[in-house]
Amino acid sequence: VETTLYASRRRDRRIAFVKSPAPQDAKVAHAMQLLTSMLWAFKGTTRSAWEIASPEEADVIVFHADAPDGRLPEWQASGKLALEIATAPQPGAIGSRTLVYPFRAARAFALLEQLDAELESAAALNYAMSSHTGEFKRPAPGEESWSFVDALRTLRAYSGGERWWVVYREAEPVLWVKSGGVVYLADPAVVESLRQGTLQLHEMRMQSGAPPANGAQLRGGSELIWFAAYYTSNRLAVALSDSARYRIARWPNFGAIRPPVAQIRVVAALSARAVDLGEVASLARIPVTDAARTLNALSALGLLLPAESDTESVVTARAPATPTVNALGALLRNIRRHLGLGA
Amino acid sequence: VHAVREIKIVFAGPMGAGKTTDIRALSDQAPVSTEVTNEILCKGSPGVILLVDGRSATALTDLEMYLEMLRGQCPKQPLVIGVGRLPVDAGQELDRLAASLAARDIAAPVFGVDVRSREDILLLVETLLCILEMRASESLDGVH
Repeated sequence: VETTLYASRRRDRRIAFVKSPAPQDAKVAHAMQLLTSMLWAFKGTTRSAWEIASPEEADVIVFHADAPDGRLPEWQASGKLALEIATAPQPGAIGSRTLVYPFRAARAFALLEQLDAELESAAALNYAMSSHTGEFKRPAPGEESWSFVDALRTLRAYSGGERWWVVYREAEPVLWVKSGGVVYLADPAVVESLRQGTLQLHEMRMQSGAPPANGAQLRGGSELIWFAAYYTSNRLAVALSDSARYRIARWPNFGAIRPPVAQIRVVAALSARAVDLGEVASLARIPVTDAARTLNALSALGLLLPAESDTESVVTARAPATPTVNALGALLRNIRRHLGLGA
Repeated sequence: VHAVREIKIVFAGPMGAGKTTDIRALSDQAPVSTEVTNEILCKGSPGVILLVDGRSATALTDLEMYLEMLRGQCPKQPLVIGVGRLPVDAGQELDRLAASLAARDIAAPVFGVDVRSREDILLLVETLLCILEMRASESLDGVH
């Protein structure tokens, strides 16, 4: 019965070997032939059944590291995974999808299983994203739309993949998010309007597509979801409560987000002890609406945790403070002024 | 760093992590190189900025070694960690370092930074100041 069930779950995966038009040495031909032979030897043992196919039909494209095919970026953008064959020692760290010739059967087998898992994850992501592609929900007056933030959350819930998701304003592509949501691309003006809250994200639509060809600089995806969530509403998101106490699971990577100082203060307050919305606004010396926005941003990143009990906040609050810091208030203000930091 | 009064912020980290570059980016005066013991370095400092080279094969070991040292020498001072030379999609590397902190019950910020950028170094300093400020507020509030 187990064999039958396993067989019923086996998928057909297609793999293409791309020969470079450039002259290749004998090692390259041997490396490609070795992997082809191994595919035959592995038949019936891998989780999915691997068949050789054309690049257009394939799920995985095998290419030689020194002479990649010019169509590779286009294939990757359409969701195909690239497997690199190297015939010389690699200068840096070996990529997770690289086979260095001569390679062992165990390494090739493990890599095929890894590629299979990545394709499965990508298929799950595509399915999950099907409800987020197309138009985002346009909010009624007085309402806010979390559609864009929800789409980013879904992207971040699935790891990896080379597919890009394009966000359009009318017919114009505005920004590009890579599967996994770890990085995004946008021109500097769009980034600035995202950070200022003037990018009308709910008026846009998202669908899978190719990355831009102009080589724009990659930016951290946490910046995108942070500011998208921050500007969506000046009230707490429905999953959060004004009266509940929260703390952070860990600090966000502010090196990628570069938030204003008021937002750093909110996170510092939440790292010190569990506090509610009013308390955090008071500690950070900002309006409650701004504190709510920062809590929404932390929540969108999955870094905001409800305090497990009232005891937790009391215990944390009683943790000993550094004896010298009581006198620091005025001094900190002077240092900030001196370094040109925010008030 | 000089203000109306003085405050000593310790920049710690292995050789090549960017300590001198950072201080040069902030300071009014050229950095002076000298060697002091960790005990002297941490004395009187309200906080520490720890710099690690993210591309180094020993980044995690370096972090763990400095955490041990700081835990011994300045256990109560807040810590902010800057990880330099990481690619923009290096979330997993930062998570690995954060997990090492969590295993030691340390809830310090870990930021990917460019140690040559004054803006990035100011971010580390600003974060340390915010943490100190919150601690000061706690002390002024008393026990809740």
